[in-house]
Amino acid sequence: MSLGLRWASVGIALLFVLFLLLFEVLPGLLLVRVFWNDGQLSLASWAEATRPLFQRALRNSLELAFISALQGAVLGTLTAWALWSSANPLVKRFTTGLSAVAANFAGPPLAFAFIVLLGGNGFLNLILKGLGLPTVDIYSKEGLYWVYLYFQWPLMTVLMLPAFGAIQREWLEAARSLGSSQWGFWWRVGLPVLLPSMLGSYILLFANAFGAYATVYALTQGQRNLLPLQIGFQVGGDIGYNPVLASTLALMMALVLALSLVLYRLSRRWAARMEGV
Amino acid sequence: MTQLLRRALLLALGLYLFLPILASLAYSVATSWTALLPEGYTLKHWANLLENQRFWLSLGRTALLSFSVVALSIFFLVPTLFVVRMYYPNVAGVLEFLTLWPFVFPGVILAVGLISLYSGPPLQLAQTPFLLIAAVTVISLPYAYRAVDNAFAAADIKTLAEAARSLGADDAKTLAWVILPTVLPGVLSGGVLAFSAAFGEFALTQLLIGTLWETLPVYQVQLARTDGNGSAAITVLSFLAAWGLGFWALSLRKDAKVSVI
Amino acid sequence: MQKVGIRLENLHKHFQGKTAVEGVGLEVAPGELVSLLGPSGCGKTTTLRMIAGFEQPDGGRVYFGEQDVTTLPAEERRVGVVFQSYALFPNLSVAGNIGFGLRVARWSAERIQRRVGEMLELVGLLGFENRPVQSLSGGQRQRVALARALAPEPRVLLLDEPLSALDAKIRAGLRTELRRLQLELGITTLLVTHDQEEAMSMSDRVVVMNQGRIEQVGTPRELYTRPTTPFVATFVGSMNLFTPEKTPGGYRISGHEVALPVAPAGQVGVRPERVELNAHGPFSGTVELVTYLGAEQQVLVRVGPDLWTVLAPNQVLLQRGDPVRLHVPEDAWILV
Repeated sequence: MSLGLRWASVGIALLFVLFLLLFEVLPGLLLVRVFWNDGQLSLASWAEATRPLFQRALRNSLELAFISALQGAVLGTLTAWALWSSANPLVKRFTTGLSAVAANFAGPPLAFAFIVLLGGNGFLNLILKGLGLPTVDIYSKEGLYWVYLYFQWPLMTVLMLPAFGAIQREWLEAARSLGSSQWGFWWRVGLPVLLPSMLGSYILLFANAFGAYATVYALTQGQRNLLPLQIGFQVGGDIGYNPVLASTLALMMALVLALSLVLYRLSRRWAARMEGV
Repeated sequence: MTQLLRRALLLALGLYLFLPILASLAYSVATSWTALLPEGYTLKHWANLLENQRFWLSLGRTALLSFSVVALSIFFLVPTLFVVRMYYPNVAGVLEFLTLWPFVFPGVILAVGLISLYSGPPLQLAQTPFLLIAAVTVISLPYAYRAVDNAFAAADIKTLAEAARSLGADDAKTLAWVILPTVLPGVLSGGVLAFSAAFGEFALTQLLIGTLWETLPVYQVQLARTDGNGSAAITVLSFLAAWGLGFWALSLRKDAKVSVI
Repeated sequence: MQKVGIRLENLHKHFQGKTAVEGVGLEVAPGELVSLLGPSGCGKTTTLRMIAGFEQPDGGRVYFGEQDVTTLPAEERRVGVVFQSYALFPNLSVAGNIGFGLRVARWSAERIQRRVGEMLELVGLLGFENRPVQSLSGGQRQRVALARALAPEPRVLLLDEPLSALDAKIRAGLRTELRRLQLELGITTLLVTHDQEEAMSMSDRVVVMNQGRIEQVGTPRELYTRPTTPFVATFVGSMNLFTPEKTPGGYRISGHEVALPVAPAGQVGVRPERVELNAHGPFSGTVELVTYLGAEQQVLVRVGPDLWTVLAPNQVLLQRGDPVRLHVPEDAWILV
């Protein structure tokens, strides 16, 4: 390669690194400044961030992420299985594409679509009421699960497809020729092989729900005691502007996500060992 | 039995993904809707929205933001991945690490960090669109990075370059005739994904700049307080944009694989 | 072990309008090893899969001994299957894989352990019990797959291209070992392969398939010496094949008059090793290419419009452009 081309590219690459340092790495790392006060180590902001109000926010966020990820994981794994065993390539392609797009669809449009569907006068609620069935309150805690399921379900489906792809049809056939039923195969071989991928994908879903801000903000106008909303409140809220508290809460949230990332990487390594036959 | 379960699952997923949009579509053209079906249909809400200057301005800002993010991503990613793949394969891990960063520091956290870093001198960027563009580029980086990196990996540009040189092509020709055309679909796909991510971005926008520089999602939140039908129309538009872009990005790739992280 | 044969009656199978298997009928005697040989897409694997129960035939029946198993699900057929891709369960150890069928059949733990030990000894992998299957070589994996298939004492053994994924050296060794084991156990075995050498060296009888149909069934020797169709003649071994022209005195092949023992209905052929380099031979031609093969040499000779393949001893020194004459003994002609 001519030197000009190469060094121009290297120049842009260095610029890129500088850009990432300024707008990605430093904003994250410098959050720990909250532990310095006038040049002294201080845990005052941590004490403030662990007040009962914020403890509840953390607990609520963890619970939301935990349960919504579980729902998505169960349905998504089953759907990935359905796609794996489906003989129709058109259905497969279409559903995969649809899921890939829906998995990334969140925020105000999604929130308002669900309000139209399941709000006080929501179309589905009207039907449920007409049938004399209990209605869904989209603004309640359980209501949020319905909304999050919209991206969690397809996300899990998309994440589990490659894992199912590692399950060779010959394994099922070998098991059957050895006298095992289909269920027996999934119990003894299929599930154990999928388990690492399921765990890894579950962690991604967990982090996805844990860090989500836009959807729940639009749905409740921020009126919910969740960690991301509390953080947003402290920097952009009308009531209090408290960047130190916001940074501390953000740090708390980043810790949970960093732990998730470590677990995710471990599960990937486990999966690679399992699937790499 | 399994056949039935399979169909039921796929049908349920399809319903779940389509029903909210269909309801919004119906709501955006309904006169009033308090019984099972809307009482009547009208294009009034759409007309109102399309005549509203605020809508067009916010759409324009969203487009400006998205195009800037795509331009910035491609400007950075293509030369960087090129030199890394070609000359410095051992620093690929660092890049990989940097694209994982937004996983631990998602929009809300990044916003907090950026605000405290850029609210004062030397770089007073807070509440400017420039900071927003930079931040959204960072957040959508994993999408674009994956697509472009896959394209470079699949092309095996090192061997391609050697083959081209052995046939007498000079370096500029190798790049222009061989490498860029080979990775172009992947780059385009990455660009479309980044565009889609930027188009729907809300958390960073709302926290970094808010209504000072209203984008479409921020405007929708404002509009929804007074005009539910108009907001439903924006929902429909957003869905269409996301699905159009998503399927476009997928069609640009030969393998139907989707990676998230 | 109870010995049963396999009987196929007029099997048919279509996939999305395409015929995969058309009217296959075959009888495999108890204890016999029969190969299904043919190019890819000839229907041999589909036939095996219908015997295993992985595919339902559209027409025809499958019998094990006197039992009609056509509609019996795979898990109740008691067949052992070995796949080209080994299909070992990656979450189980070597012993876990071999004992899989026994656990399904609810054998007691100690019986399983004993049986697994026997099987490991049978395939020469004693001491590998607790190894993960990922740590094994291709040849070892296929031995484990074989032990797994044999452990629950299947009625028939089905081998689907079992050696095709292995290196040439390992393949040759495993080939003789498989055959030795099969003879020792006396288990009725069907081997699907596209490798004629494999089929010829391992089988009691070979079934040559093409385009969903059976072309010819016979012992390896019969197939080689008396192929009945041009397809079999060229697919099994190599063959110089000609369409003779009738002349008043006899027949014309490659522009030369020859006498044939029997009147040919279609084509006639001769194996390369039966063509002799003979100064008085009736066919005159020119050497185009000489390939040294070690024990002998392969010579391509241009005779009139045709290119003949000749296997000649190494002592004869030939080079491109040499004029040669060829002779074919009368009994070497094969009519197909």
